[in-house]
Amino acid sequence: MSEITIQLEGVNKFYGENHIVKDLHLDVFKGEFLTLLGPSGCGKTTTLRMIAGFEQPSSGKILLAGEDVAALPPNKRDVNTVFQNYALFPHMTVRENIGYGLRMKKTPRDEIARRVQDALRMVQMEAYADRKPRQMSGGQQQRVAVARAIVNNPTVLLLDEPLGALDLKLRKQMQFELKHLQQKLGITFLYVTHDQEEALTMSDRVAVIHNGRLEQIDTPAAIYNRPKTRFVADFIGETNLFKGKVVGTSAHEVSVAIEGAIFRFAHAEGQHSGAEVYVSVRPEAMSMTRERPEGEAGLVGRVTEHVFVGSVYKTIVTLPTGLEVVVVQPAASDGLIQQGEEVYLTWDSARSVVLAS
Amino acid sequence: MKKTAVHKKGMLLPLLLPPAIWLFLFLFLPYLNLFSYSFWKPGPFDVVKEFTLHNYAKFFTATSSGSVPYHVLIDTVELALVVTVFTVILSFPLAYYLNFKVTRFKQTIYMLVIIPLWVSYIVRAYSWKIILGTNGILNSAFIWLGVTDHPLDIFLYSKVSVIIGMVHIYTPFVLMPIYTALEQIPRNLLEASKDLGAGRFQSFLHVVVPLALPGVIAGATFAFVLSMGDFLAPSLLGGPDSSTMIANIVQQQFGTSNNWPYGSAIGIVILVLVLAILELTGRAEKRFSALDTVAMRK
Amino acid sequence: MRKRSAWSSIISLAAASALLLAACGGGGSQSAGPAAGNGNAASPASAPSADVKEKVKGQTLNLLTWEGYADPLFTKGFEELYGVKVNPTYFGSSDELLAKLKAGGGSTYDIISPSSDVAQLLVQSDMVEPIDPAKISSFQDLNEKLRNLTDVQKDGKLYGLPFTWGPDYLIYDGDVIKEEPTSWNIFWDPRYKGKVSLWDDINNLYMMGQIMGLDKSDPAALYNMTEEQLQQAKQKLVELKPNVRKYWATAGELNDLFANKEVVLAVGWPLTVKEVNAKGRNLKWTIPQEGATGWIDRLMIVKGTQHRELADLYLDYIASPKAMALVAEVTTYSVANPKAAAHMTKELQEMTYVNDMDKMFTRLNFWQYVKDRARYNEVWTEVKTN
Repeated sequence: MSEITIQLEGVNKFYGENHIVKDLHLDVFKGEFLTLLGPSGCGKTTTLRMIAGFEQPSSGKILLAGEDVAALPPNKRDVNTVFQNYALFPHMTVRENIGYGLRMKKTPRDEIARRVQDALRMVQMEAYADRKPRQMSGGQQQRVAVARAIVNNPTVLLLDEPLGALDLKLRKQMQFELKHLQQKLGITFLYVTHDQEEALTMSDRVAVIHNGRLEQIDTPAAIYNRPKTRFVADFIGETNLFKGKVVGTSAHEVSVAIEGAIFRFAHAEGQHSGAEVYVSVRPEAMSMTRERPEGEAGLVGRVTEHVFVGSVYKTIVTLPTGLEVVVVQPAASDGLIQQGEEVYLTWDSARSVVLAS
Repeated sequence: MKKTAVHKKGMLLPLLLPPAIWLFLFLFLPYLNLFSYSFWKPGPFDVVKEFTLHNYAKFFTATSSGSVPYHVLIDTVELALVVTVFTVILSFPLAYYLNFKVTRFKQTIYMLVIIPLWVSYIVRAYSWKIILGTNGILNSAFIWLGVTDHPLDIFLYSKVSVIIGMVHIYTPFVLMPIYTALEQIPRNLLEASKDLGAGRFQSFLHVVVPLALPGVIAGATFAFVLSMGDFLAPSLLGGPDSSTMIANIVQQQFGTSNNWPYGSAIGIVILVLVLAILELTGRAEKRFSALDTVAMRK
Repeated sequence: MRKRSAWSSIISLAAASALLLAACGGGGSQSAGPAAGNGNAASPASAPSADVKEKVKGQTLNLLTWEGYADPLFTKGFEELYGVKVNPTYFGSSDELLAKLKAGGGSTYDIISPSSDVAQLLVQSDMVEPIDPAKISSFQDLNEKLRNLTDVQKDGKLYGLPFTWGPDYLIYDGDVIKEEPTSWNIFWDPRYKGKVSLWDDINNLYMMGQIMGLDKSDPAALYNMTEEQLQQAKQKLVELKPNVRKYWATAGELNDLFANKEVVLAVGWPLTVKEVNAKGRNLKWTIPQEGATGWIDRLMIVKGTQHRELADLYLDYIASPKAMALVAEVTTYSVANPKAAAHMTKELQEMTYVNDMDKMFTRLNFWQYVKDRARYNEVWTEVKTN
């Protein structure tokens, strides 16, 4: 069992009347890349800042390497932060920026020089060592910010949406670089973002936070394929949420009435007859046919949109009730479906999830 | 429309013209006039417009009793330096406190510091007379507290009172650029500094001070240049040894001594000195300025 | 040269307004003289002839004077008497007078009021016309010494009419210094360290000259000191510095210095004694054994004046006792005509020493033109920046 580096126990944070972080319990394992994912204002940055020491929890405990850090100011905690807008010292060169933390700890000069050089190499910024931040692009500044943090060999590296201001291509490149860097260094990374694609790409585990609460913490695959709450299902990737009612349960299955038809799913806990549920089916798990499917339950609808999006076809089928269902199919498959056509929708019940309301 | 580009350019010129004319009439021409006068000869009624370098020579040459006029300039520079040092010492902590420690009523308190600027200089100087005088508030307080048993003369009509008056009057000029410079320091820099292990004093020394430096230089320059030209404080608050600074000498030349060319020459000398200093401090400011050109988001 | 303080102008205006109010209200406080409240009755001793009046009617007399010297209180009478207008322009320093005069000349100004520091210069530079004492009915009434000052005489002609005068005497705080000082040397007394005030002016050099006894045989010696004598004077003034609290620039400043008990000794003007004592203090004055200097302002006629006859009439008018008394009221300065006493309150008489003129004049050395004024200024500056 992995060692736990950070432990949040029952952490709450209030700003005046606002309850920003609600009873958060979180364990971060040593050496993992954990991402706090959630929409703006959900409390993820606040949580990060509390771990760094810039905010104090209203209640609850934060333990770093087993120690309660409540009394420790930021400069005494063995964590370093990569800030959202880098916060590089404009009056210092890249080298001086990176070496700042080591200088503050009165590290010997030659050691500083060596370690700074290593850090520069790790983020491939040796050529820029004597430049000032204003002479560099956003991406370059970001690397310096990372170098400045990791050179101190912290127990945990906190990253607060560091890629937010970069353009798409650069962002994607940096995602991989950061991932590889983390694997190489072995430092625990606690990453904050609202971009779920980014979270899924980089993380060992993802913690989805909504309205100050931890909805689910799991590997990216699990988050994606087996969301535990409606919010997670909806927030991560694209999904179709079918509202339904449980009409029957058995040992292995549960029957749900959706749009008039009865569908059977693997039994999931907490569902009893009469309960209102949502069934989440990802667009790529949907199938579309012109003919009524044999034996399987299906829904019928009319194609209202059918667009080519580069690698896939995205089709919107509107059901008689008005519900719009999104279907995604690889571009290589049948592209002959026309707008206005009547189609039947089915899906693989193994790839769908029944969620509480 | 074809006209638009030309129209726009044509609009720029009339906008620039009034300030340019103003500057020409009230800055450039007067300086030119001053410059011309410095090369003419004084006469009983009016200036004799014949070229001479005598006025400049006079300023730098000893009189028959051995005293050299330009020593007053040196004394004034010393005084200005002292005033500058004290105003910076006073303004920096105040600006720092306002910026980083005051959360509510920040604007109000800032205004309280700035508003006295709008009160006439003479009124403020006079109020110092009342405070510092033999029977003034300060002496009365000292006697009441038992610090001394008789009033101290040194507080008024001395270098001390001139310095106090000038420091008081020029502090707002120094505070404003320092305050602005401190205000522009992104707060996340201080967080970053703490995050990287710096204590409060270290953050102050390594982050706040270097970034505030341009503001400090600007403010110090204000204080110095203004003090150099101040003739009111010496005249109102100075004693026998401190009532005559270089500006008073110039004032005299345009008054009782009726020697405008000499006054102009001294004026030009001061101007050259001040311009040289402005050049130096301007360069220093540029060298230390890091904030304004960084594309700091948020 | 004497600097007019803002205070004296304010006081003059205040006094004038008070007097006007008193006059309008029936004037109970003025006891002497039926006409000493309005400007009407200050008429010359001999009534002007009808054709003279006719000749000058409608003209404008242009005065170039110190503030307070063209106050309506006394100019109004003249205007009404001759049906003319008096148009004053003011200057704040002798330099300003010179500059304005040079610019305007006789076409702009008719009468000027120079102080003693520039009077001789104007005469010598041919900027003024001789006055005609025969046309001034009160001329013989004017104090003899003042009438005969030589600095405004040239080739047997007189160029200036004595107008107002004042001493630069020793003022002391009667509550602190119980015995009347006999010599200026009291200023150097270590007992009065930091308790003395001098005027910020080259007058101090004249004072030192007097203390050095230079003017015992020749009054003009003070104004023609040799370099050696100037150095001696400078030395004395430098030695005095530890005793000096402040050099006063305006009379108002000196008033404050006494009022706030910053100083107990000073060289100053009657104005200070009057104003500070009005606040309940006990300032006294004396002219020490060495003597004191004095200033005198004169009225002169500008060369090339466009209104010579009117100017003569004005001089005639202003020299009369009643007009002089009004001038004294407005300015609180001493005036040249002792007969003005008849139109002054006892208080005003005392204040302006109108009955003691000769006695004072034996001990006063009136300012004269200083040829080497530049050097005097330099030496005084050297004292201050020593």
